[in-house]
Amino acid sequence: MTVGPLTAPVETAPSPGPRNRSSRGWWTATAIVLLPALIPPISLGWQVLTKGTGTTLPVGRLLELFVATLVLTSAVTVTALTLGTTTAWLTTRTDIPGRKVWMILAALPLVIPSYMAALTIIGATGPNGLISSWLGFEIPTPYGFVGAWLALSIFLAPMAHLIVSPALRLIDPATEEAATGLGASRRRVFFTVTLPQLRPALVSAGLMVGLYTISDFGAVSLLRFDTLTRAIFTLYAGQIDRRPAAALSLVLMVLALAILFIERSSRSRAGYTMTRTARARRLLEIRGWPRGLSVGFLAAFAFLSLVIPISVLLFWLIRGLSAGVELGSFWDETMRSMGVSVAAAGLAALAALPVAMVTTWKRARLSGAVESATWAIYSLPHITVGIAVVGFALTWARPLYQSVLLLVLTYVAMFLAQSVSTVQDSLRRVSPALEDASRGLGRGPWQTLARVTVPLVSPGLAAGAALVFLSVMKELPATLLLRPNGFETLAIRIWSSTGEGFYTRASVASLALLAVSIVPLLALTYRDLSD
Amino acid sequence: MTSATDQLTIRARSLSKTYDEVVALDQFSLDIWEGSLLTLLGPSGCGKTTALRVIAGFEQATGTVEIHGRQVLGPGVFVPPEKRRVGMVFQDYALFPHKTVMGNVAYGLPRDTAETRVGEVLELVGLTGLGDRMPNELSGGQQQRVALARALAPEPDVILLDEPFSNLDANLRDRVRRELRLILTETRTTAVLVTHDQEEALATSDLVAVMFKGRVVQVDSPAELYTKPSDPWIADFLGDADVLTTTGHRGYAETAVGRFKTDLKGPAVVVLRPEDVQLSIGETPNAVVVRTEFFGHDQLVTVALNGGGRIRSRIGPRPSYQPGDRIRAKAIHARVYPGRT
Repeated sequence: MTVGPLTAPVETAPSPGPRNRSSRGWWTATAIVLLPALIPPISLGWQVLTKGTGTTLPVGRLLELFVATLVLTSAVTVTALTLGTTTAWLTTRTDIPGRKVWMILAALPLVIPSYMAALTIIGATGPNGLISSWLGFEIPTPYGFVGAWLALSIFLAPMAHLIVSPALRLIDPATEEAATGLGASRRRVFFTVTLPQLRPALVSAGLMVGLYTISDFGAVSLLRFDTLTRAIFTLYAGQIDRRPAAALSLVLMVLALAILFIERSSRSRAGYTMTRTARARRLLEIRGWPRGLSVGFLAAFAFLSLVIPISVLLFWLIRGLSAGVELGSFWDETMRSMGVSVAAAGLAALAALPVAMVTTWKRARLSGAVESATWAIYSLPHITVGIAVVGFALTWARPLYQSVLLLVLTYVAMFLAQSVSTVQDSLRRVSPALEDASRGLGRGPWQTLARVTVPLVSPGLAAGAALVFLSVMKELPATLLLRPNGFETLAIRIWSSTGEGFYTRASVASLALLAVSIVPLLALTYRDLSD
Repeated sequence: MTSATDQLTIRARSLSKTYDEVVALDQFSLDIWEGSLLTLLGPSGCGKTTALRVIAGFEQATGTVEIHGRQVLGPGVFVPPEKRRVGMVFQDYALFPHKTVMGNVAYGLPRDTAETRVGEVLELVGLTGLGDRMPNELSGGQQQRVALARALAPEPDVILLDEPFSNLDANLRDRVRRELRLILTETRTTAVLVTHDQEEALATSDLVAVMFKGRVVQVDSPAELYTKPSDPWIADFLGDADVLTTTGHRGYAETAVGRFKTDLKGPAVVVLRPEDVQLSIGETPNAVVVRTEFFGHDQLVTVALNGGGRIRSRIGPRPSYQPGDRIRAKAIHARVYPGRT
C-alpha cells in the first residue's frame, strides 16, 4: 500500500555536474541504513531453503493464482495508465475551464487506500447500496475480477496522473513546434513526438501501478478475488505451519523483482534533456464538443473516484448515527496511526540523506547497487515483507517480535525509496559548485553539510517525509502481521470492521484516515502545481 | 538586391502583438527577397523572436504575412504552421530526443523519398555516417547541424533561424557561421536569422533589419548600415560611436575635430566612429589622452577634447600614447544628425 506518485525512478535530466567526491562516512551511514533492510527478505529465502516449504498448494491452484495475479496486474496497469495520462494531458496541456482545479481533483483519490475503495464499492452497490438506492434498482456488487479491476484502476489512475503530468510539462515545447513546422498534424505530433518523450514517465508509472497491483491485499481480499497475496494471507492466518505461506511469499517476491528488473533493463539510450530556455507553453485551445467531452470526462472521473466514496462514507455515518449504532472508538486508533506514521516519516527522511548522497555521486559502481537495492526493497509486496520480518524476529530477534519498534523500522525499510528519491531530486538541483564554494570559504565537510547542503535539500526531505507519512497511514498487510496484540490503527480498524460488516465503524475510521491524510497530500500536490 | 527580377519570398505588413500589455510587435513590416539571408538584429526583448514565430505560424498577430504571394496571415486568414512550408531552426535546436539523427531529419519527409533525401542533406551539412546517433550523443556543433539539416530536408520556401549560434562557444561559433552561410548559398535557400549580436549580423547577412521596440527601424546591407546608420541610436548599437553636440550653420557642422557637410540648420549631433578619428603629436594640440586600451592588432585611445567632450580613436598598435599626452585629434569622416531642440 504505497503512495508512489512522486517517487518513481523517472530518468531525469543530468545533474548540473558530476559529484565525484566520495566519503567513507556517507558509505558507512548508507550501509547502516540499507543492510538491515535487506535482512528480512534474505532470511526468508534462507528459511524456505533450509526448513522446506511444508504442504504446498497443488500446482494447478498455484498456476491459477499466478495467472489471476498477472491478468489483474496487466488490466489495471493499462486502464490506470490510460485514465491517468488522459487526466494529465487534459489538465496540463489544454485550456479547459477549471484546469487547475481538475488537476488537483484528479490527484486526490490517491489518498484513498485500496481497501477503502473496495469498501465504498461494496457500500455503493448491492441491495442496500447508495447507488442502488439513488437509481431505485439494485446494482449487484461486483465481487471478483471486475470489482478488483475497477477499484484498483480508478484509485491508481491518480498515480499515473501525478507521474505523467510533470513529464508533460518538461517536454521541450519547441520539439512539438518543430514537428508542426515540418508539416505534422496535431495527431501525428502527439503520437510521434509527445508520447515517445513520455515513455520514461509512462514506463515508471506502469511500474508503480503494476507493483502496487501485484502486492495489493486489501482490495482483492474484500472484493474476494483470489490472487497470490490473498492466498498467502489465507495460508498464514489459517495454519500453524507457516512454511507454505513463507514459500508462496518468496514466489511473489521473485515476481515483483522480475517486474522491476524488466523495467530497469528496458531503458532506452535516448537522453531526455529537458527545456533549457523557459518559454511559456501555449495551451491547446479545445473548442466545440470536444471541450464539453473533456470536462465531462474529468467530472465523471471525479464523481467515481471522490464523490461516490465520500458519499458512501457519509451515508453510513449518518445512517449509523440516526440508528443509534455505536461508533466505536476511533480517537486512540487515530493517535496510534499518526504516531507510527510520524516516527517512520522522520526516520525515513533521516535515513534517506546518506543513501541519496551516495547515489547522486557520479556513478560509482556501488552507487548503482545501492540504488537498485533501495528500489528492490520498495518493490517487495508488503504482505511478503511482513511474513519475512515475522520469520526473522521469531528466529533471531525474539524480543522485537510484535513490538512497535519493529513495526516502525519495517515501515522505514519499506518506504525508504520514497524519501530517497525526493531527496535525490533536490540534491540534483544543488550545484556541486555550492558545496565547493563553502569548502573554499573555509567550512569543513560537516559545516558545509549543515549550512549549505541540508538547507538546500530540505524541500526534498519534507516531501519525502510527507510521502512516507501517507504511505504508513494507509499500510495494511504488514501492519496486520507485525502489530502488537491490541495495537489497532485506523487501517486495521477499517479492515476488520468491514470484514465483520460494521460499516458505520469502518466509515468513521475511514473519514478519520482521510482527514489526517489530506493535509500532507495537498501540500505535495500543491508543490507540483507551480507551472 | 532589389532589382525587378527578384522575387519576394515573404512580405510582412503591419504586424502587431501585445502580451499582457507588453508590446512585442508594433506595426512590424519587412520584405524578404528570394535567395537572400536577412538578419533581424535588435536588443533582447525587442520582439525579434516573436516576429519570427509569427512568420512561422507559432504565434498569432494582427497584420498580414504573405509567403510567395500566398496570404498565410491576415483578417480571417490563418494558415497553421504545418501548412506554411517554413523551416525553423530553434535556439535549443529542439531535436527529438527519442529519435536518431536520421529519424529527426526524415521527420518532415514523405516516406518513399526519405532515405535518399536524408543522405543528401546529411552530406550537405557534413554529418554523413552519424545518422544512427542519438541527439544526446552529439556535440553542440553537430546538434546544430542536425537541426539545420532537419529544417532544410523538406526544401521549405524559407528557413527561419532563432539565435542559432547562441549555444555554441566562441571559437566554434565563427566556424559554424561560415559553414551555415556556405550551405545556404549553395542551396539558394532564403533565410531569416535572428540575433542580438551585431558582429554576427554584419558578418553573415546580405541584409540586416534593425529592430527596436517591436518595429523595424532600418533595413540595409551591412556596410551601408554601419557607415550610414539612420540615427545615432543605431550607430551606437552597431558599433563604437561617440557623439558631439553642435549646430548646423551655412552647410556645415563645426566641431573641435573638424567640420562636416550638412544641410541642417540649428542643433545637431555629430556621430564619430573611432576608426575615423586620427591622432597626431605636433603643433596646436586640441585634446589630452585619458586612457589607452591595447588589443594587439589595434588600440583604442580615449581623449578628452579641450573644448569639452570625450571621443575614442582606433589606431594601429603604434605609436604608444600615455595618459596626459597632449595631442591633436581629427576626424576624417562623420555623420551629422538633427540634435534635440
